[in-house]
Parts: sequence; C-alpha cells; structure tokens
Amino acid sequence: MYDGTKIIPGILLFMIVLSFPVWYDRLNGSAVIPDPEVKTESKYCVMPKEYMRSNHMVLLDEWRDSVIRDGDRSKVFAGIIKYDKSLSNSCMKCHNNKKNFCDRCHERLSVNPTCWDCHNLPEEAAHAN
Amino acid sequence: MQINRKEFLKKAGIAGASLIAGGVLYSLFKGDDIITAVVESSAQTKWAMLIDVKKCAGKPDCSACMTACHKGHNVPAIDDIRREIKWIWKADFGNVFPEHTSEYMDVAVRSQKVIVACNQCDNPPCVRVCPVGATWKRADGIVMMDHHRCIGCRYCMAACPYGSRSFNWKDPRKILSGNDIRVEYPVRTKGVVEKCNFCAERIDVGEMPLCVEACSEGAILFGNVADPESDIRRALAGKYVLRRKAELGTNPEIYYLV
Ligand code: HEC
Ligand code: HEC
Ligand code: HEC
Repeated sequence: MYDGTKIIPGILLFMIVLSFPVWYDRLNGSAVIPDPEVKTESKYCVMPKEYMRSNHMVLLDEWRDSVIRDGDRSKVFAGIIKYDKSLSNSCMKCHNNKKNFCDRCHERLSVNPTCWDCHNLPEEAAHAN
Repeated sequence: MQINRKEFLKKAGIAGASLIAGGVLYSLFKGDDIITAVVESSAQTKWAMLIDVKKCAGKPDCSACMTACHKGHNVPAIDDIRREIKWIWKADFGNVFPEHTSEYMDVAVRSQKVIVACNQCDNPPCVRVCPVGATWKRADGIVMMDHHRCIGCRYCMAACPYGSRSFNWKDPRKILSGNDIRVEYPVRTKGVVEKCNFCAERIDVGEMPLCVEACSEGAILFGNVADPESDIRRALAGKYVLRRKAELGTNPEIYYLV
C-alpha cells in the first residue's frame, strides 16, 4: 500500500471529526431524551401515549382541518370525558404546564411551533412576548 | 392550382391565427368556470341576517353587538382609521346605501347609523381572488377564513366591495391588554386578514351569533333562509328589504329593513 502511514490516520481523523456531534453530546451529558412532565388531572390523553409522542403534530393538523375547513366540531374522548378538538381548550387545559411539557421537548429539538402567536394559554392569558 | 412557398406560409399563418382567436373568443363568451363553481349551491342550510335599521336607530348610543363581537373574537380596538380592525361596525346610511340616497335627503336621515359586517355573499368576490384557498364559501353559505393559510396578500380586501375585511398591520396581542383576551378564541397575528365569520364557531354547536344574542332590541334576526318555515323567511316574505350593492351580483346574505 502506498503511503498507508498517512492515509489510515487521515481516515481515522476524518471519522472522528465526522462523528463530532455524536460523541460531543454523549460526553456533554446532553444526549438524554427529554422528559416532558405530564401533570394532568386525567389519566388519559386523547390518544395512546406512544401515538401522541410521535404524531401529536399530525393530530393537531387533522383537528384544525376538520374544525375549520369541514366545520366538524364534534368531540373526542380522553378516557370517558369528552373534549373539544381544540388546541387551547383541550390540549392546553390538560397540559397546562407548557414550559415543562411541550417546550421541554421542542427546545431540545429546536422545533418552534408558531401556534402561540394566536392561540392562548389558559393559565396565562396575558403572556405577552 | 399552383401555390408557392410564400403564399403557403401566409395562408397557414392566417388559418392558425383564426383558430387561436376563435378559441379565445369562445372561452370569453362561455364564461369562466370558476364563477359558476362559486354560484352553484344545493344547500339545505343557508344562514342569513335581517337587520332592522329602525329598531337600531331608536338607540343611537348602543354598541352592544359590536362590543360582544369584538370582545368574543379578540378584535383589537385601533383608533387609526387606516389600521383599524372591524368585524361589525356602524356606518352612515348614505355610505351604506348610496344608491338609495338622494341629494335632497335630510342630513339627519342620511347620517343615520346602520350596522354593517361581512355580507357573507352568495357569490363572494374575495373567495374568487384568494390565491391560497384561505377564504372559501361553506355549504351553509358562510364565507370562512382559515387564518392558518392566509399569507396576507390582501387581494380579498381589494376584491370586497364593502370594505368588510381588515388587515393586521400590527401584532394585535400588543394592543389587546392581557385581561381583554378571551382565552377560548385565538387572536390573530400581524400579517393576516380577518373579518366577521357569522360566528361559525357558535353556529356549529347550535348557538346564535354573539351580535344577535347581545342586541336587547331584537334588531338582528338570524336564521336559515333555505328553510321556508324559518322566522327569517317569514320576515322576509312580505317586506321591502335592501341589500348592499346588490346590483354587483354578489348576492349579500345580510338584509336590511328600513
Ligand atoms: C394566525 C393565527 C393562528 C396561528 C398562527 C395558528 N392558529 Fe390555529 N386557529 C386560529 C383561528 C382564528 C382558529 C379558529 C378558531 C375557531 O373558529 O374556533 C384556529 C383554530 C385552530 C384549531 C381548531 C379549534 C381550536 O380552538 O383549537 C386547531 C386544532 C388549531 N387552530 C391548531 C393550530 C396549530 C397546531 C397551530 C400551530 C402550528 C396553529 N393553530 C396556529 C388562528 C391561528
Ligand atoms: C384529558 C387530558 C388530556 C388532553 C385533552 C390531552 N392530553 Fe396529552 N396526555 C395526557 C396524559 C394523562 C398523558 C400521559 C399518558 C400516559 O402516560 O399514558 C398525555 C401524554 C401526551 C404526550 C406524550 C408525552 C410523553 O411523555 O411522551 C403528548 C406528546 C401529548 N400528551 C400531547 C397532547 C396534545 C398535543 C394534546 C392536544 C391535541 C393533548 N395531549 C391532549 C392528558 C391529556
Ligand atoms: C415527547 C416530546 C414532545 C412533547 C411532550 C410535545 N412535542 Fe410537539 N413535537 C415534538 C417533536 C419531536 C416535533 C417535531 C416533529 C418533526 O419535526 O417532524 C414536534 C412538533 C410539534 C408541532 C409541529 C411543529 C411544526 O413546526 O410543524 C406542533 C404544532 C407541536 N409539536 C405541538 C405540541 C404541543 C401543543 C405540545 C404540548 C401539548 C407538544 N407538542 C408536546 C415532540 C414533542
């Protein structure tokens, strides 16, 4: 092999640099899965937890389209209690700790939903930005 | 018959041009299919309003309907006439019905206040021009606004002959002070257009619009004009009513008893 002494360390160095984000996060201790705090009176969400974790944004879009575009304001169940298909009046009524719930995941993942520009949070009507 | 190259090209050109012109003329006279799509309606329900201007004029200082609506929908109060947001408001008779006003009409009559809002047209020009489908006509006649889709181009405002639409020049949250915000209904952001929605969020759950409920004089009658037995149909049957700029063909669904 020609110049193996240069090529092999070179490849190794390249791999190290390439994987920088992975091992940096590990060493830094910031690679933990965020732990959203579920602090609700009800035991149930509007869908199973696993579904909500991966698909709540899809569900919100479906609610939005059915409510506004189809005028379908029928209710959904969480456990045995009926809720409106509403961001402010359902999700945020139960999950009324946005900072420790929605934001904990979203900040970690740099997701910035703009919903709160318009939709209000029940407990802090005056959340001026 | 002999035909040379030049002659052939000339004739072919004329034939081609007349084909195209014919197509253009045909589609012009046939009319635009977008328009027919908006006009057709097979509705079981069509919501409409009848406003009794006389009852309203009896209480010139009253603003119950406007307060109820603007509070219920988090509509900010802005003094600047170029920036204000209006869902329902008062205007002079002479401005609302210029075609029913003559120059000899008493100033007092001409400046009598009339309640106006989005007319929920049957043939809404705003819907025709919206490039993103953010405003459309529901099966029950309500011209809805989807603020999630609005890009703020304001074509709809230019198209509306009634000035029923307002643009958010500023963040309304900055104007609505904290306690004024009704949590259950979203506010809007800077850069979207808004208007009266006939209280779709209430009608859909079987309630009356806020303005109708707030009026102590019973000056606003709301109902289903597709149902011949409804109160509003009975009220409309034998009366001479006005609609704003009906000659434009927009078919407003707000009727005025004067
Ligand atoms: C420009 C302002 C605005 C923004 C931004 C906005 N919404 Fe809305 N949203 C509204 C309005 C206005 C309604 C209509 C409420 C009604 O008719 O009851 C609504 C209704 C909804 C509804 C159904 C009814 C309800 O009360 O919740 C859902 C669900 C919804 N929005 C989800 C979202 C989500 C998710 C986002 C962020 C990705 C979002 N919206 C961003 C203005 C907004
Ligand atoms: C009736 C109250 C209630 C309503 C309404 C509700 N949730 Fe939940 N939500 C819960 C509960 C309780 C859990 C925990 C479920 C479990 O642990 O099995 C949960 C779990 C979740 C999770 C998963 C959290 C995790 O740890 O992975 C997400 C995401 C979520 N909800 C989002 C939403 C959204 C978005 C809405 C509105 C569309 C909503 N929820 C409406 C009560 C509610
Ligand atoms: C378990 C973590 C977790 C929790 C808790 C959580 N989210 Fe999310 N959310 C996510 C992830 C991950 C995404 C991004 C998904 C993607 O990018 O496809 C997301 C995306 C969204 C989006 C779409 C954003 C966009 O830009 O399209 C909305 C809206 C949203 N979340 C609303 C909520 C609301 C409201 C709550 C609280 C009631 C909540 N989420 C709680 C993890 C979470």
